[in-house]
Amino acid sequence: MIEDKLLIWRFKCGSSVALCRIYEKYKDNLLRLASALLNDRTAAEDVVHDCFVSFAQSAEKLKVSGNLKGYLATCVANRVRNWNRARQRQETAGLNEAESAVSNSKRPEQWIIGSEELKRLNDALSRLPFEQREVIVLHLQAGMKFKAIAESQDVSINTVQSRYRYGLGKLRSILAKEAKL
Amino acid sequence: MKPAENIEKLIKNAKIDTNAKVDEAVLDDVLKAFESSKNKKSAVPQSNIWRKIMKSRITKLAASAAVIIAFILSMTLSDKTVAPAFGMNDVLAAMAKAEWLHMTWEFTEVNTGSDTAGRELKESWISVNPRRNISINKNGSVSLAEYSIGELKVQKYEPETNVLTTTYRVTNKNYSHTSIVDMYLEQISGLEERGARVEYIDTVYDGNPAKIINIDNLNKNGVHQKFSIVADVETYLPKRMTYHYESADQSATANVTFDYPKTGPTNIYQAGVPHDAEVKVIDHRPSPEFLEAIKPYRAARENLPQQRIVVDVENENNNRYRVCVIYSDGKKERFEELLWVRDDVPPTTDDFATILDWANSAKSDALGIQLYDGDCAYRVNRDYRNRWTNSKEYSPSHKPSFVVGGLLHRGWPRLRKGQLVENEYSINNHLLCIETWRSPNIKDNKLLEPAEKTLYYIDPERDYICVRIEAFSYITPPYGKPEIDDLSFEPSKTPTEPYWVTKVTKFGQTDTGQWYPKEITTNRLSWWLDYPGNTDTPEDEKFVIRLYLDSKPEFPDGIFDPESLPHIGE
Repeated sequence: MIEDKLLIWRFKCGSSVALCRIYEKYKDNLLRLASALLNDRTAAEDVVHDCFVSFAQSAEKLKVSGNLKGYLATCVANRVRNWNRARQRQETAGLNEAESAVSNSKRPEQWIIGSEELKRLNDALSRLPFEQREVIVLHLQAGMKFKAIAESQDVSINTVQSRYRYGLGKLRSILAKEAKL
Repeated sequence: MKPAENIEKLIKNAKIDTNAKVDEAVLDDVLKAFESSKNKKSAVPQSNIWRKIMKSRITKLAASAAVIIAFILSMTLSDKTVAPAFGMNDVLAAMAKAEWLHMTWEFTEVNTGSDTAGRELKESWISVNPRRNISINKNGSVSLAEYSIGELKVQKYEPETNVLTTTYRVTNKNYSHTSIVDMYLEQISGLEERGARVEYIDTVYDGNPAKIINIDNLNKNGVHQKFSIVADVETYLPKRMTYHYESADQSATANVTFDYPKTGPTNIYQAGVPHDAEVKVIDHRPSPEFLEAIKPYRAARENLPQQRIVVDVENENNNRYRVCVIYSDGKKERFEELLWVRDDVPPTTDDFATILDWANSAKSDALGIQLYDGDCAYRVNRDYRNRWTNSKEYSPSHKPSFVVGGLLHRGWPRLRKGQLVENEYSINNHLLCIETWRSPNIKDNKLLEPAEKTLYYIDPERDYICVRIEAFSYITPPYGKPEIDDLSFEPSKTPTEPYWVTKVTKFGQTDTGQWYPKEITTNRLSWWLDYPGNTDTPEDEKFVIRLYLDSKPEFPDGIFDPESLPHIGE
């Protein structure tokens, strides 16, 4: 926690070393989070890339009231929601073949090297309604408290807890079925 | 797949690997974005904390003590500075555990050339939760500031009068800290290396290995400061500091010791204030009744037509007119202020188009334009020689409030705090009455401004318009310049009669039934009233404001475009 406070402060003072450290410290976590939320490796990579670029540009205005990990996780979750909305719009407008609205950045190789287990877990998560998936992933992977998730989603803490409970139950049954196969 | 029972553990521990080559490529993008955003930054002056220290009086050293330490930490944390043998991260970590910081001050040399020497600091305490600063001076005066969410409590004890004054204030600042480190980091935010020389020397303090950190700084204004801090290598905590300050007319040397006790004085009496001290309370916090009453008022303020053009015509006397045209689209705003000091009288009309055409075509003696495009604020002025000057651009953290005028300022002035009161006028006219106070401004035992009480009368029947304002204060001519030097004068007193009354004299309604003020009349007394010894007769001044509203406007092309603003020299 202290390290994060120092990192934020140094980053705001213009330290690129601090930014590198923040990147190194949280990139895996954010990629894992984005891929669990989207179940689309390329989209997840784009979201995290854009999230870090935007974070890098925000040094002057940055105000982190909670912890840095939660802040970045919320940034990713917000971008995922935007990405979903953009995708829905494209689908509605019949623009399925259009390029991703989130990022046009081109990288030669895949960023995420995921295991088979991760893929299966993300597949199972993707079968949950997005709201439930988001709560589960933010709570378990990003370590965010229900209260913080409720604030970031602008819903009550009871709603968040219900989504978590229902989502976890459903996930359990999905995985149990898979295990039987 | 692992058993479903371990689902939470499974999600929590899911691992991901990344391609190192892409990692580098992304980081490269991120760093480029960072550098490019740094380059785009305007030359905004950095925090002026350091400058404040330079100017600070010796009696204010307690306030700057934390900053001094913070400065040291910032120096050592800076990427440009070679880190000392032990890490300052460790110092911060050690300090993070401390709940209290206690400092004792011993001045070995003081030459202030003023009467403040007796008020030298003797001791100061800082606690983390709640955030509390206590300063105990040599002459027995004690002050305590305690911060909580949205509130600030300040207590001051003066031994000469044996009076303890407690003031409660509302504050927007968030003072919630979880550790001393938080407090320091807040203060060092934005503070950068300012050319001071720093050196580290190994030493022994209290039989333990220690590090001396010397800082020598001479600023542009000729103020020379030297700090010598001893930090314990075992605990990493700063333990002692010698501070020398020297300017053209002031000099002082103080030895300061730091310790980090488990507890400290939690109220001002524990800091030495006698229990028989006379207690005075000044409470500026809003009452629950005020908060309840202000809710619909604020809602009405928000419910005004977002898209609007308002022309605000103010006759200030002696053929001096001020006309403002305000264009708002809810997010963006353009404010044009025109001034006349000659007989170019705005037409007396009720028609919006007529007055807007007149404002756009009439030649004013001076013109100022302020624009907020949703992101940046801009200001340009045309002077009496018809040249555009004073162009300014800045990025406010929120939508800026432009100069007085327009629907919000006139009809729904911002009321942040106050008390809901009742008087004859409010009862007879079925109005809500909000009372606000401005404290007297006293500096160096001199009254700069006496207290002012203001009553705002709000009409719930007409969309909560503020229909009348009365201001009460002892003012001296001309126009309220305070020059009261009578020592027996009680600065917190206000007279019984207002010196300034403004009221809505005509109302308008939009197509949707929204009420708004159409004409506002202000009566102002230009001479102070019933001040002891006054024999002059007060004079009365009157001015009228007319407001014209178009709530379904068609905005001229580019009206919110900064590019459309005139340029300097045009």
